[in-house]
Amino acid sequence: MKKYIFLILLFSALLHSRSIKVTGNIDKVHYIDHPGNLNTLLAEEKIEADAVLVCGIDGISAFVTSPAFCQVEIQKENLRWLSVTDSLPPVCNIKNIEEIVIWRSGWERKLYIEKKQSFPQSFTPYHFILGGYKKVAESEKNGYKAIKYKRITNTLLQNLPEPVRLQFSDGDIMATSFQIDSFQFDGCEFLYQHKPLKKIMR
Amino acid sequence: MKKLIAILLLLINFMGLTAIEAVSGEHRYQIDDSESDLSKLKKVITHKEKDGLDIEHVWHGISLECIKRDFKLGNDYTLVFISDDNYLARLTSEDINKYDPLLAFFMDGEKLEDNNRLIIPEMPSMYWVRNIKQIKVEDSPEFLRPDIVFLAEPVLTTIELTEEPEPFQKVSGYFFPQLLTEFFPELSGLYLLIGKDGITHQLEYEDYLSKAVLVKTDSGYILQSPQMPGGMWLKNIAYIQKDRTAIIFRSQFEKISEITSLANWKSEPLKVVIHYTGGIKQTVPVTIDFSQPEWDSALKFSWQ
Repeated sequence: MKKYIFLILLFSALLHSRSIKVTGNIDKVHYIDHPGNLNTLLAEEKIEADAVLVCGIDGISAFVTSPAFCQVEIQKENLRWLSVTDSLPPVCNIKNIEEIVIWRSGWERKLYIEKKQSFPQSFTPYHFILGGYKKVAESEKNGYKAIKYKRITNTLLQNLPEPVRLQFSDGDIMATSFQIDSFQFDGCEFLYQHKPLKKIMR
Repeated sequence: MKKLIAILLLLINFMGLTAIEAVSGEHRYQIDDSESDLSKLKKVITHKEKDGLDIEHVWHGISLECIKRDFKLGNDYTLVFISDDNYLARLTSEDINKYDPLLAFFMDGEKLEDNNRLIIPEMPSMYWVRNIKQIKVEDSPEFLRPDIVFLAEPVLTTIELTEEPEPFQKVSGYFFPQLLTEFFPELSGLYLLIGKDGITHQLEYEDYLSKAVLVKTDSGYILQSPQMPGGMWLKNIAYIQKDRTAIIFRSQFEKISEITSLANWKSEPLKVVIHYTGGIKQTVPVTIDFSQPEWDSALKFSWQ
């Protein structure tokens, strides 16, 4: 039985390793496993998006808003996924896509982090992922804007107060020393010790 | 000799501190404010009523035409006036052509204590910037009619109201970035901000807004920030726009045509699509008042 489960997990992992992970402000992680127009691919997955961040394995990412989705073709070349477009700024041609992060405004799932700043900052999954990127430049072509980002170290969970109070989605509060190994973020959901996490407080 | 050099250096340094720098891209120069013969300067007379008395001031200075001439500017540009304390005001080429503002160095024959002041009798005093350290030429940034307009109020009800939001005391309000996070994937950038009275600012997030607070009042919200001098705070903030996304404070308007007029949209479609929770949408005529039930639980609107 254990072998069987292991094989299923291995097969699933292999399958997804050849797919594009779709994360951000959506209910759960999706995977895109065939080429097509970005607009169509998102519609097939029933994903509503105001914008996306197309992230390359090399750390370069392009932010594209929804009116431009139909101008982007997601193609597969050998084992690599590419975004290809002539109509948008050149940065939107990402050579080896690792992940597509969805931006949707008014997203309710957020992680509140209270550090030494005067107010708790809230991060949707999109903003949390964006915390690991730095804006490099903005460009425009044919009336479409794009923003180029470069990956940096995500410091959002650094310099947390000690100890912290964690508030979970079910209302439970835990005073603890924050252990980064107990924090899980799959790209859509924030968990601490496998429980949905809402706030990290002083 | 050493003393003389030190005095000269001090003098040069002092002149550098008080001079106004004009900047356009890579080009920059210092505006000559050394003319002391008032007859060679432009004169503007202003009147102000205070305690029932008419107070007249005679200002002498130069026209902003010199900047247009020196930088060979075309017809469409914006001048940004930045004061010594980071106060900022923008004038479009249209304002400049219409009102021909004076960059004054003298008031009633005396050198101004604040070194200089922008005088525009036809515009509110918030544009009369004192102690200008820099005048920057900008291509007129164009804020087109947004594709999507969010309503601020439904979101503000989900954010915790903070008593005495730092550094402001004896007030309650919301930290401005908390509101922006709900609507914008990237907070940095240039924002168009308009108060109910039409006062307009275009401000960079990092320089002016990252620590701003929306202070709650009986008539709406004051946008105030420790990064802005008090004269720049916006009373009854009504409209915020970045790129093609806008946020309105619905309580400041009765209908969409008022937003069109305030934000200076060039056109207004006939139909508006109102968005509700759960992806529900409804198309209504653009003329429908905000008091109508269709708007009761609206979250945002777009155009058909």
